Amino acid sequence: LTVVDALTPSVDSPPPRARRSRRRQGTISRWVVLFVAALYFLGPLFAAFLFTVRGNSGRISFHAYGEVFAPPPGGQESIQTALLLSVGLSLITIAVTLVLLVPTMLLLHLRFPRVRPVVEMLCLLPLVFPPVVLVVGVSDTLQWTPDNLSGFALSVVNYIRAPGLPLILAFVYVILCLPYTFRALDAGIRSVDVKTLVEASRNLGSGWWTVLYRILLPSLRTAVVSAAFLCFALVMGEYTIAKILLYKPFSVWLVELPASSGQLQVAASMLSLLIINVLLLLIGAFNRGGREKKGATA
Amino acid sequence: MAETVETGATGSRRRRPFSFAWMGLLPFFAFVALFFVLPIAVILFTAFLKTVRVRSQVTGQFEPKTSFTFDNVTQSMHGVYLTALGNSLVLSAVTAVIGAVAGLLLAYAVVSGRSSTLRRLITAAAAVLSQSGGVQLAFLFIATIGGSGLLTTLLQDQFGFSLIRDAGFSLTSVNGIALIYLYFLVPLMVLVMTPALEGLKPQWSEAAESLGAGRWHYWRYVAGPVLMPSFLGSLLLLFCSSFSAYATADALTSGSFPLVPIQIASVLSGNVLSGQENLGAALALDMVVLIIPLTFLYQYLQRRTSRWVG
Repeated sequence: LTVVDALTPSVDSPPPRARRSRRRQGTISRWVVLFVAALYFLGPLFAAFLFTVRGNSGRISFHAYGEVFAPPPGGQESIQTALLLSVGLSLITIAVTLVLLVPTMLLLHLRFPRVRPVVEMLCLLPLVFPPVVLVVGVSDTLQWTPDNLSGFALSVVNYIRAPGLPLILAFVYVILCLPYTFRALDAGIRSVDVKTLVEASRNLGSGWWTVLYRILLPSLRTAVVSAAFLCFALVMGEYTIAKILLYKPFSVWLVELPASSGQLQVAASMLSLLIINVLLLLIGAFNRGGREKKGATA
Repeated sequence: MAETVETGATGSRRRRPFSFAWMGLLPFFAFVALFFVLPIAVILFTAFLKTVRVRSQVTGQFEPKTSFTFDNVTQSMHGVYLTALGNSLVLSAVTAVIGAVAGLLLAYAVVSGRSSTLRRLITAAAAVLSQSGGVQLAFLFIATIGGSGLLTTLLQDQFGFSLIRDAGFSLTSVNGIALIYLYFLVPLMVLVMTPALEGLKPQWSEAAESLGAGRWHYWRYVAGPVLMPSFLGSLLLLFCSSFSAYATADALTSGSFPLVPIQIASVLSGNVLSGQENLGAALALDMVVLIIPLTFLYQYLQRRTSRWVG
């Protein structure tokens, strides 16, 4: 068959010159497409950067980037408060996601493989329901509680929606992140032979705690770290839920800056995009590195 | 090895003691039920509820009375909400089609090149950019082609060309929003179409060529039909992604452009007449009813895709 493959192009193929010119034409249109794409995707980044460093009388100044961290005009909250809330929420989201998902998925893998499709479907469902739909439900549920709950249940609800640290946001973010975190962890668990590892270490006399902390978590390190990074990137950029539930993490703060601070808003956007994009690129590099290493040893 | 495991399993099945292991699954299911299933169920419920204040026959005072009704749903398809629904559908359809075609061209340009560095670079960039549909994107474009954006002022000062007067382009119009949406839709398309394009085996084009097919015939009868389910599936994905986007349009127009998600936010912030508080749930229900059939279609197309392109 390889012989046939090797021979086919020469059989009844167009004369070489026609082919070459066709290929050159293809190359030109390829570069045109790539050039237009580069212009569209890099242009706004470049223009926004120039916009932020445009000082008075055409001089370059970086004062907009300094101003990002100064107290904003108009008596608004400072960026530190908003950033602190965003970082706090993403850390809680990561913690809840890992505590909830890692044991569940290991259990599914080791003991209940038949329940796995159900969990997978539940985890991918948030992709179907837009965040703006989910937040309607959350908001309606929260509005319903004061009249219909009392005592301990009501105080729990009031605690998780407290404006200082709205845990409810973190919990909804856990749901929004599920499709991504599930896939990241699932890929990790599939790539190591969890069953053999567990049986081996159990045979050698270790307890379940030791198995989890000294055997499983280290071998799932890549998956856990990339799930955590994904959560962080998603929560730092999230706007819809927080805005509608009237909380003020970083992205809502950014939009609610007074309109006069155009340069400031763009500068803050550039900084946060930079951080989020670098994180996402790291996840990609991390995953690829892991895969290549595995490929090399296999 | 495998044998010992299996005998162990069957042995324990015969006389397995009652196990508490399944309780380990409870926290996950409880969490998802509380923060995902419950809110969605609440929408289904409240969309059909309406509270009106009526004068009580007994006390003569106004008391809230809640009843089941289709009023909210009817209301959500009239007036400004109908406009929003139309805008959302048109915007999503147009951006999905343009994004899908542009993304396919870009993905093909990347895949057909022999440079694996370029391919890796573009894939990584596409993965990042497809997630970039946030408020930051709006500010990026405001700085570029907004009212006092860099390109706007450059064109005005150097060529006396006004984007808004001479080209009729405004960033806060539907054209502007579409232009921004493409910034994350095209990368999404590149991301999902690259594997499909890589699945086109060179043998197929060689076989077609040796049978006398030209380039057009190859695309029309071989590559086209193989790629079609995957292309249509991606088109649906782009449509849904565009349909549910909220942050960018809200930040860009300060919540004034009539799109369904923006109307939902406006209803929830109390921007409605008394008695229409549940309109938000009805609008959310409209969105879900539109998206769910598309999801099933997407699933079907995905299965069709995997037949040829692994």
